[in-house]
Amino acid sequence: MSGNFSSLVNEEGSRVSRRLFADEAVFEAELEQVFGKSWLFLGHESQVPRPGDFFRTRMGDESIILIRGNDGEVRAFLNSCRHRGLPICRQDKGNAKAFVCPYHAWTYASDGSLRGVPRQSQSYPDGLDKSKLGLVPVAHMANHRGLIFGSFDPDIIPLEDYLGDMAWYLDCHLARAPGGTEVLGLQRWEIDCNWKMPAENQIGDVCHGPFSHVSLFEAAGGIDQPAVTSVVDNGVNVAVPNGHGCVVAGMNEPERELGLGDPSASEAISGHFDKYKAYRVEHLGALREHLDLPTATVFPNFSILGRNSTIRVAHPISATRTEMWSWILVDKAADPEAKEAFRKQYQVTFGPGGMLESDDGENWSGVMYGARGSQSRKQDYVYEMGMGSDGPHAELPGSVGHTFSEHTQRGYYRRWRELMSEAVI
Amino acid sequence: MSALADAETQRAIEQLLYREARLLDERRHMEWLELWHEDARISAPVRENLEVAPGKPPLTRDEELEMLSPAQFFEDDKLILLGRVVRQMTGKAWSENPLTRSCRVISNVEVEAAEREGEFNVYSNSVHYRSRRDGDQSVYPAARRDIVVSENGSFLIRQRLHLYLTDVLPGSFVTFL
Repeated sequence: MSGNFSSLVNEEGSRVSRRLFADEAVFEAELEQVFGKSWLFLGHESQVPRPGDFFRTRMGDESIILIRGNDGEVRAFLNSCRHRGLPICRQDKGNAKAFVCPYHAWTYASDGSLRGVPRQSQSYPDGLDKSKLGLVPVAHMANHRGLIFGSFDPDIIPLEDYLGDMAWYLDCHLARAPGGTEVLGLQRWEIDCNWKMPAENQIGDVCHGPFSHVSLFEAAGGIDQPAVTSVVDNGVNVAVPNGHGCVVAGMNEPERELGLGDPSASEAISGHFDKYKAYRVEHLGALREHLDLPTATVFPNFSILGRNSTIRVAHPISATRTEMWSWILVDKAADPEAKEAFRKQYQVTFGPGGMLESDDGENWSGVMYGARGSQSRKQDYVYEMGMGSDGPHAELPGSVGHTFSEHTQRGYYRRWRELMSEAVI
Repeated sequence: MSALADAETQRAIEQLLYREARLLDERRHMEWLELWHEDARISAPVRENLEVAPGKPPLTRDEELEMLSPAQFFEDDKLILLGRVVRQMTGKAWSENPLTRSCRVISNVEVEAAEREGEFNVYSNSVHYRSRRDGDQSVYPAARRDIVVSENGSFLIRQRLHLYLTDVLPGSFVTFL
């Protein structure tokens, strides 16, 4: 087969080839065309507060060191020694003055420079230009309200332009209390699915909720409770240029928590929102004061589930395997009881032991199974729900439509098509 | 180190752990729930990759646990355990329906008398095998530390620290440890 990968998605983004979800040739091209040319989430600034603090993260299929230098600047490098390529950072996080390769002891400083090679004068009698053998840096770095993004593409547009109106929505969550947000920890798990499934689900697939998640809703107070209806019936889906999208809902709905767990935890969460209402009005305005993001995706693989206190990345392992990284995100100003309540509410609903996540993982695997067959993969998946029903809104930026509409997913796959059009099969 | 419990207590608590595993494997969830104390707490912290500085001895596991973030894979009380069971009862928990087949192998059981009368520190290892379809099989090995209490003539599990071996869990489908 020859041609252009862009033929796998139609112009509207309403028909998507199943090959996007299980085909290794498509996956290999994505690593360059999508992951090589997008802004990717690396970590939260609260993970590297002091000079020398580092966090071992990923971008696409690469292991990356995120580190704050002695000058206070946050940098990122390929986690790979220039000599034989070993990962030089092998722990998840910490504080270090230098990274020493375990094989031949090449030593790198926190600014990525190669500082030491054992017995250099004996080993390299003609000299070794260490200034050209520093760790390979990530081309561009940027921070949006504590979220640290990086890009391998030297020509990438600035992060603020890339996010565009998405920043307006993200800030509903990231800027709702003084000092912004911080993370309390990270969960990781693997799923047999394509990496785009978590992203396209969390960009606005509200319509799976009442069916897929019905078991927890019934166990926790019924399908008609406000925690469900405030999103499904009263929320909106918003598509933003560059392939981003979100679900927006009212934050101050009474009983927004699922009726599960300790009632005092729900009180701690409501108390936190009440406490910072005036702050939200002042910093976010009267409209955004009461908006939150049940789910949102920044293209290609970063998502936030605002009501469930998590930011997450779907890392590509292969066309059929994904490693989820899910951080617990809380407002920095929240008191310890509220932070604990947010954390526990996240853990019981999302993450590998979460009762909503387990339904989602089941679905994401199923989408991949449906894309593997030699005959079935000749077919498309259908993204036509709510075609033409979204559009401009008086108060909200982006293209706004109801929650039973796939316009955010169409926007996502149009962006995918645009990036992949440069790749040749 | 605390004193080992007497042989009769050791045997009774071993049987409790085996029964607990079997009731889950047999999907007798309501009966399983009865083996847990009203104040039951389960925690399963996220494991991390740690390094010691050159020249330092390895951390003990207790020292390692103190360095972990507050993130847990599971952190359940009795109410949440009940929620997990009730969710199964709806017949609409799609990650367990079609039914999951599981087999939990429990071993290395040590029982020590705790300081408080009628309370025991129990160490064990668990390997949880899980299979659902078409040869799919996940394995979840873990070390466990329980607190088991004797109440009204029967033993109940009041606390479980469940230490998964892996830092990256296979699958997102574990309803019960």
